[in-house]
Amino acid sequence: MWAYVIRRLLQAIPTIFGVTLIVFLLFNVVAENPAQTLLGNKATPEAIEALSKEMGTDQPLHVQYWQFLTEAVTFDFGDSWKTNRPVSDMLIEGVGPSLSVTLPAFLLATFIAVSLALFCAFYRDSFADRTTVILSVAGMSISSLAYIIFGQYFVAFEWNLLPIFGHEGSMRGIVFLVLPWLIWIALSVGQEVRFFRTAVLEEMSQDYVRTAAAKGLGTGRILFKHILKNAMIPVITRLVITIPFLFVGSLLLEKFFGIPGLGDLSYKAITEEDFPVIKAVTFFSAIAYILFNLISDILYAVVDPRVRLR
Amino acid sequence: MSESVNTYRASWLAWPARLVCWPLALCYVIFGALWRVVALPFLGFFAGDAVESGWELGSRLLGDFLVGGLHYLSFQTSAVPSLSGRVTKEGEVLGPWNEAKRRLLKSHVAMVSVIIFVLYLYIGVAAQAGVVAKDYRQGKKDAEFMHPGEGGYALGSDQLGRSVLALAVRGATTALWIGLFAASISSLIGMFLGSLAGYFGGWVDDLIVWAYTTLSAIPYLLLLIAISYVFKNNPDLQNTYKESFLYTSWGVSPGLFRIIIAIGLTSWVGTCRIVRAEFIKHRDRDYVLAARSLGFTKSRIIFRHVLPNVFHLVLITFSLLFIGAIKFEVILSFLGLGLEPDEASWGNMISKGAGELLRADTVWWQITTATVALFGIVLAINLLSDALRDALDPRLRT
Repeated sequence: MWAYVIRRLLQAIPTIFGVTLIVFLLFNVVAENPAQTLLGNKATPEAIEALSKEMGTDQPLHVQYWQFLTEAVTFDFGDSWKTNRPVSDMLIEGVGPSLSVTLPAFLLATFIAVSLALFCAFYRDSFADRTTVILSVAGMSISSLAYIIFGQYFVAFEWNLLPIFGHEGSMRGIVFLVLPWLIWIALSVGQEVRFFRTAVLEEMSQDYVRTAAAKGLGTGRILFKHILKNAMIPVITRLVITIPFLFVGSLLLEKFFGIPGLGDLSYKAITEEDFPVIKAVTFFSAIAYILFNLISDILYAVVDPRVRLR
Repeated sequence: MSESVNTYRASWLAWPARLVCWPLALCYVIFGALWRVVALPFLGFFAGDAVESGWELGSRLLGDFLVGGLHYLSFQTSAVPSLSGRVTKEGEVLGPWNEAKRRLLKSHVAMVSVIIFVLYLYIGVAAQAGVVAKDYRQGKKDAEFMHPGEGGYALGSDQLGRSVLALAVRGATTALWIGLFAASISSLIGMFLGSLAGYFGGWVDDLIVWAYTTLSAIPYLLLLIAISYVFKNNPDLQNTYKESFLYTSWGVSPGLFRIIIAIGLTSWVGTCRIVRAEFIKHRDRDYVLAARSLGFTKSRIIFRHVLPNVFHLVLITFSLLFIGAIKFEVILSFLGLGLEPDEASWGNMISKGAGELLRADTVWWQITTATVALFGIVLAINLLSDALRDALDPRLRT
């Protein structure tokens, strides 16, 4: 297994190379000169040239790319062009707020979705099942912006139940997070329910289920003792793959609720052409993506002994 | 073959669905030609405008013909060559596509969503042709923020006294353009790369898998925002685009083009994965071996033999990409990276409406109209794609 892990980690190198290439092409080749953007339209050509020199954007492209790669390998992305603070500090500060929104919401949403899916599969084709499926399709069809805007408007502004906007690091800050959690859950539950329900139903049509029923086992016992374990395989792998995106946070939620997380940070970095921050965020998320993909594959082999890691 | 031909009865809703689909196909082919060849030069003669060049006219006619043909095919699947080759006594061709069509026509949900989708299509096409919502850009003075029903505005007016209904209708056109083109581009890329990767394996496969792993390692929204931002803020690219024929002779606005390209170039990963997996399954089957031993070229085997067996999956992902593109337009326009603020799109309406909600007199109609319009088409296509999946791939039926 260790050989497999090491091989997979080596395979990560071309992927990270690709990610850096995309970011580099977008921001160093296609984008306007960043010095121009930072200084605005009224800047003199001399000032722009001086700043370009300082930032290293006057170098030939292959030199710049090589510089970027060395930065990536040493995990040192330098200082932000906008705030002049070390990028690593900004990233570490951003992870906490991002996770405080996404992690609890993700866990709650998964719990709700899995229980609803089991319920639907248990009472398949009943009125409750049909209603849940229809509601989840309808829920998926509403724009995510509508959830956020109307949620913020009604719950926070009109009914005054929760604060509209803000963030606080301590435990008292939870009041600010409740509404983003609720909106995240509303946004994701519909899709998850449908996916999990399909996974459970697919498992229910297997032969071993019929055998268990023929032996005279009750539906509940079959569902929880036999089916649940097998149906959890696709569910677990899907969940593990979403984890890296939790770190990066929900860009829209953070923007609307004023949460200083990584999503908000990266959005600002893009619109201010703060190149070091963009590089760092994409690099960081690519590594997380690769790691959790690997973990999900290993987990897959652990929970399902039929799968061999090759 | 679970259903025999004799017991087949279409849902009664199939008739209204046909009724709305047929005229659209006819409109495109016949009236499109009449309009372009007879009416436009005639009108241009009076208005003193230059008549379209032959090249432009030809390409537009071809476009009309293709779109009309698609509409025709969508309800005449018997025109698609049968894969099984069996024909009943009534002359009906039996084949997977016909089986699927039969299942689709039996489903009430599918027929209702087809009707809804085609209604959106009608509205979008009519707005594009200038039949309805022609002066959506023109506001009236002293008619700001009229309530729905007030002053002749069925759904109220916005800050500039423009009709919200007209803006929403025009927004449907924008959404359809984005959905159709972005989903087509990414489906084509995904289908092409996926089939190459799956059929050839080896280094081709490695390269394509590398490309899509790289794309999916970057958070999608972040990538989309980055691409739109970079394209938007590069004056050279903007100027080059404004000289291209898309802008000068077709009038595709830079914002629309930007969104279509940004979404189209990035969202092919799912299609590519699915097509690749199917090709790997198919490439060693007997019919492929037979084709190979007959000496058919590789491209013929890939595109004429294997791809038709995989195409139904592309169709299903296409419908999901379609909704995805429409939804992302809304987000991008909201963030100021999509269409220009004066263009009509649901994203712009939601973006403006969000601020208007907080006014003292709570202007709710603009954002509500846009949200409901978006919800309608997305729900219809969601339901339709479920029905399509059930019809085309009955093994997955849940």
